[in-house]
Amino acid sequence: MIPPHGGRLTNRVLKDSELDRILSGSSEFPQIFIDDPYVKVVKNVSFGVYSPLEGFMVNNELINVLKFGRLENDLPWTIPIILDVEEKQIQNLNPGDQVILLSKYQNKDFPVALMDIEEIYKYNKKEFAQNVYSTLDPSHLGVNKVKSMKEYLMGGKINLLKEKLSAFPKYTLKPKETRVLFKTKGWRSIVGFQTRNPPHLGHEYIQKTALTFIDGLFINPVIGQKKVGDFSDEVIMKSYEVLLEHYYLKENAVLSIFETEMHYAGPKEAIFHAIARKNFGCTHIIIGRDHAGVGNFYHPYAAHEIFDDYPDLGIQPLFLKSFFRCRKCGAIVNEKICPHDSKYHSNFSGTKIRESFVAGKRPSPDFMRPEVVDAILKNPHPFVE
Amino acid sequence: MRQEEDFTVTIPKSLVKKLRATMKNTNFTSLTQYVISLIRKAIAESEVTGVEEAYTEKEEEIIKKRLKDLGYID
Repeated sequence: MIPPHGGRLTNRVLKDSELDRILSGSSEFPQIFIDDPYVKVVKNVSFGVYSPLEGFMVNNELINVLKFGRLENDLPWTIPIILDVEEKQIQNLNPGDQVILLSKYQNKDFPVALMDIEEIYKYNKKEFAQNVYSTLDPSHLGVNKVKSMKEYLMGGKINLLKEKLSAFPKYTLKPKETRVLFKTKGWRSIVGFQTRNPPHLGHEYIQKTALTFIDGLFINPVIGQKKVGDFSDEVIMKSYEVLLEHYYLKENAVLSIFETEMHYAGPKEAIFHAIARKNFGCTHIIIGRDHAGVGNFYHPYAAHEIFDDYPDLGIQPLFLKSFFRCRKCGAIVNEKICPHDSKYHSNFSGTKIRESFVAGKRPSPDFMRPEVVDAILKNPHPFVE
Repeated sequence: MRQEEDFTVTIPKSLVKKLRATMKNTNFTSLTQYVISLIRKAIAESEVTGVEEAYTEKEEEIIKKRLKDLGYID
């Protein structure tokens, strides 16, 4: 089995005895409310999806990630894992203090984690945005989000108190669980597939191309905050459920979610996605066209090139070009195997498929499996509103 | 901070010549970055062995039961 990033799977879940002690005295600790994306971060750190991280980044760690795309110990890491706070939240807090991170759950306060504060610090938003997104253009969703972040960052290790269940408990597996799953299935090579869309035939061909020489396929949709107009999480999950049922062998493909928000950081996020999949136990990850991109901010294959800078990543990227239908070949092919002129090609455009649904039309079976189309049409609200 | 730990290595001219030649087959344009990349790759390969297992035998049994209940394994 592939080692986790940094060699050890992080476990920041408190033992029952400590948990009881802290929860019974939780009102004595200072408390800070955190939003849902941060709850997901806490879970990912605690269960090892973000190994070797043990909490939110301190200043030196953040500077290294921004400047070098690496942690202080030189391990590859490209997306800052930070907790932003405002002045009034930290007025009585100091390094060395412990604070309870709270969330709302069923209209009640829900203690998510105990955080050991190591550092509270200011940061430069422009430097942050430029280094993560390679742009300061406010129309970039990530840049815009950085602009609205609070003025301080709070770094330190966290300890999970209570796990807030995902919207898809049946499809929520922790890295320990996926590692046992892959081992039990006898897979020695596992390819992760990152997605934030329902599958069209182009996606299916990419996955099956990888599967022809890899033992198992780990379909790992991002579930969490996305942009308005994206397909909803429910639609993505349902559509993959029916695709797997009708078009995949059960013994070599599994579906499980990755609870995180999209950053739309293109190449930097591709590395981050690869690290998370490595921690789940994947030996390979599919990197397609414009991975984690948005608009025209990144070259379509910039996410391929960045892997040159990370020969020590420990997970092998599979660079696959987009598939299309070629009328001359009479098949679904890609530019590496099709000799014909582009006039014979029909691309699988996610945008066009989305437009079909918005217009109330069924996308052609040449582009999307009818079972997948049915699953999407059954949902009265298929898009993030 | 990383810069404080930077270290200079003297590489023999003959090896530099070889490095420049092999760098032509890559996307690297800086010899320094190329050498750093080669070192990182070599270190990562030597670190792969001796990694502790991510779960105990007892945990494995509990996990297998959950995976079975969820329909992931028979």
